[in-house]
Amino acid sequence: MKTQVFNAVCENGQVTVNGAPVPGAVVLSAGAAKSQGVAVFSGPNVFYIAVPMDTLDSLIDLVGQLADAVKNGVLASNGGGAITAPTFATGLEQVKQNLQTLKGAKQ
Amino acid sequence: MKIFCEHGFYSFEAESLDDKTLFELNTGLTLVGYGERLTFAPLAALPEVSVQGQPYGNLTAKVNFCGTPAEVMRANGFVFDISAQALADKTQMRQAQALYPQLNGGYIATEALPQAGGRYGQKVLLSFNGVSRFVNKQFILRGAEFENASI
Repeated sequence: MKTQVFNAVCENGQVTVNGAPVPGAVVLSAGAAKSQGVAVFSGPNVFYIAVPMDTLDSLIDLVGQLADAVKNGVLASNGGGAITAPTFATGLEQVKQNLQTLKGAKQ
Repeated sequence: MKIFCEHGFYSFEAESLDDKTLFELNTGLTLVGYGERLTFAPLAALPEVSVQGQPYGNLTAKVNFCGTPAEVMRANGFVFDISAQALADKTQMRQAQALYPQLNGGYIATEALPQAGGRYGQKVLLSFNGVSRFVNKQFILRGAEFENASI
């Protein structure tokens, strides 16, 4: 029995390869809502596995924003003053919301 | 010329240098290279994956399958129609197959290259292996796989 692997995308549980839907493909990973990954054809079976590179890129960006918020707020305060950045709390909240959004989109 | 028919996927193995030419002259069919064997051009172009609802050869695939083209054809219920030189649904093949059983369990066809999916009595020819003997215009089937006709 042969096995071949193709680049694929998944949206709302529907796997497509080169734009063509693949009925019956089984989604083995998270990412059924929307993701990019690979479709593995093996005999009569087709499996989809998300490869979340875009998710990791977004996560890295959000961690960077978090570091900036801490640097501009908490670290300045420890240097001898109160937290003066007016957007410190809202900035952290925005980062938190973005992380939740990212998590939700990849369920 | 050795003949291999695996669920309608025909391939051939030349036993002598002039086998390909003899086959083409006697049958009017053209063969192309396929690995170390020969086959018909439309079969040589078949991919190893079918996706349900997407084109496979000249037909639309019924199922997802990954395997050799012969395995993909079997999974989809396709055979190769020799005269049309195209894939055909096995259930649509209606040719009567003139096969003469031999004492050794084999069969001889004298009219033309046996058609996979063709009817032999109440049976449908699926696969076979054999040889062609153009001196006496015979196709000798040494082994054959049949299934009962559904109609």
